[in-house]
Amino acid sequence: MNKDNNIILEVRNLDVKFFQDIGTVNAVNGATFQLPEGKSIGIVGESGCGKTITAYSTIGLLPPGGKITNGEILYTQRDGSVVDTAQLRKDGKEIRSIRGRDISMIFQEPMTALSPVHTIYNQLSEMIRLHLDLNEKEIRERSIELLQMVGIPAADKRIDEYVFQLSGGMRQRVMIAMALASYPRILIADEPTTALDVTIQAQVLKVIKDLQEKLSLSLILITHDLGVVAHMVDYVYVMYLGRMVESGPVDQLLVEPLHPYTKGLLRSIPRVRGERQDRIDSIPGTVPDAYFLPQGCPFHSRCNELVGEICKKEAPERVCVGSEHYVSCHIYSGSVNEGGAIDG
Amino acid sequence: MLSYIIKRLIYMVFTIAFISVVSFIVIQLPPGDYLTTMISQMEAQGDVVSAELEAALRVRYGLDQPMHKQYFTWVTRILTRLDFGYSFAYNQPVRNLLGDRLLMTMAVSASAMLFAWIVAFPIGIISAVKQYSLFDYFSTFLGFLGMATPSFLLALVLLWVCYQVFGTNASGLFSQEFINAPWSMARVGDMLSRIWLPMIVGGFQSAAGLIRTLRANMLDELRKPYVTTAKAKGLANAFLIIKYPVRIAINPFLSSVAWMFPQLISGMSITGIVLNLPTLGPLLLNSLQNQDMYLAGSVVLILSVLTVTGTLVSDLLLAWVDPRIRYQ
Repeated sequence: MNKDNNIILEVRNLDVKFFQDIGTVNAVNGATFQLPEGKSIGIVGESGCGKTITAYSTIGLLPPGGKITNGEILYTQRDGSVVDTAQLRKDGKEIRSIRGRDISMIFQEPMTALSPVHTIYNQLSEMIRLHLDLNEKEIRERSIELLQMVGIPAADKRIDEYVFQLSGGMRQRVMIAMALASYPRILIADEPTTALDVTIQAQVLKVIKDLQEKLSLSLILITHDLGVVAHMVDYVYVMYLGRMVESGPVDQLLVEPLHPYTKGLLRSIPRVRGERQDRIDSIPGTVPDAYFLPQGCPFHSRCNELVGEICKKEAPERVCVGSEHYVSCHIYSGSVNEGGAIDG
Repeated sequence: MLSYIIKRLIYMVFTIAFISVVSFIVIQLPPGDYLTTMISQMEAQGDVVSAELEAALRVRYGLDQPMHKQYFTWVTRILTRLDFGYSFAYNQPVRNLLGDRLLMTMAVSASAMLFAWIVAFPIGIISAVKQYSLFDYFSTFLGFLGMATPSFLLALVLLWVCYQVFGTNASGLFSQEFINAPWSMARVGDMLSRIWLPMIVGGFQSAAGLIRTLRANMLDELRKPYVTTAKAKGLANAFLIIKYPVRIAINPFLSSVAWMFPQLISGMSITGIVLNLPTLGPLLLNSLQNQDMYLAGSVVLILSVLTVTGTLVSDLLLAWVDPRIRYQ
């Protein structure tokens, strides 16, 4: 991405492993991405590709057994200093002052991600009380204001209800309000609409998009849905087996995908208009076992555009193939070596 | 909520009435009655009991009446005069036998339950949070040991240890000089200084069970997404664990109120005998052996009242802590 952008969060060569009795799961293998301040990026991939784990790593929320074994997570703080959150003590004071305050998160399942036995106000005000210096009256006002901001009707009454008394879409709005409670700079939305009805999905996405622009948030949207990405973000990273295989500006990447995996993902979106499809295209094979990573290109076992033996032996380098468009595939590494200089 | 409680109270009356009928019948199911037991004892001592005397006794004790008549007389007297009938074996009104013992039983049971809670609560939480740590293994071991050890055995062991180490007899709820003394501050003090033994013996097994339950529940809750949400807010671990997963994992603790009370009373019969406790347990066992039907019936009735009340109390507690129950 362009160097003159202010990068607020940068992940470099991140490796995350889960050490278990039966073996080591290589969940993230060299993930790399940049989030420019005030922009929105999407991380797209199938379930199990490590996109959620990558996001959780940024604020040290790895599930038990997970460990960052390599790489840096560089967060540029409000005062301009850069901190590597991968080096901070687990659940220590420094990382906790970033969580919620600077980097906030929205989760997939609003029903289970919110406590069933605490009122909305209880859970919302807790966030404000923790990070902002307000008195009780101001906290209450701020809480109601937040609920109004995300479009919850009769917010001053709803606020004292419990999560199970709300509909799915309303719950996710509460989750968004909570994440934005203490003026964070980065919002990470982990599959925010996957658990919702299709009709509600668009509404919730619109709330996120509007607020991102209004509050000039930096947004990381994690999803398996390329359709969602198209409307929501400026720049997309496509992730496969724990690493980025392709990245580019959203309009370019969706129109002109280069990596065989990205092409496959796009083909597998059912089309409503146009000629009728007898069956939906899918990518053949299954995602390889994360216990034993394949040699060579991680995608070679499912790829229909193999270059040759090199695909099974060498992992492709990340090459730049256009304005801010990068791909890791042997098809393109050759052209760059010969051509020499396609921007880079 | 109020209408719910009233509804429950009405159900309770029916439940208790039903239990009293069934238990009254069951107690009299074995062949013979208290008189046959008494006569066979007298004959064993060489006395001859004439048929007239037997018939006279039968009339005096009301045993010549049909069972349903006996039952209604008994129940009416309880309801109108709090008269629980007459104990044949102890030769005095059941109410005199129950009075002090009921109080003692409540004291012993409540302290055992408190002990179980206080021990199980932190151990259960810590061993879940620090799963597979040394502490967890130790408490798991202790938990299984506690569940597998019969309480009367534990009672015997502790009595023996007390005698060996301190040279005192720790059985009974009172020292020798207080056993028949009237209630006074000194007597209460004496009881409190001795109640620790039945408290530990009675509470140990329940504590072991509660530790296992709480640990399992906590492990479930700790993996729930709302814990991650709380962490993502930037809350400190100790705080968020107590506020969120513990709060939800606590439910079985509260429902344990319902079954712990009756279990402590009936379950501690043998322990009560070993420890020589003046509680209801040993009394119930004795009365059943002697076919002392009014005494047995009264104890069972009181147990069932306690059980049903305990269930109501625990349900109300659950509704109080869990809005999901309250709003349905």
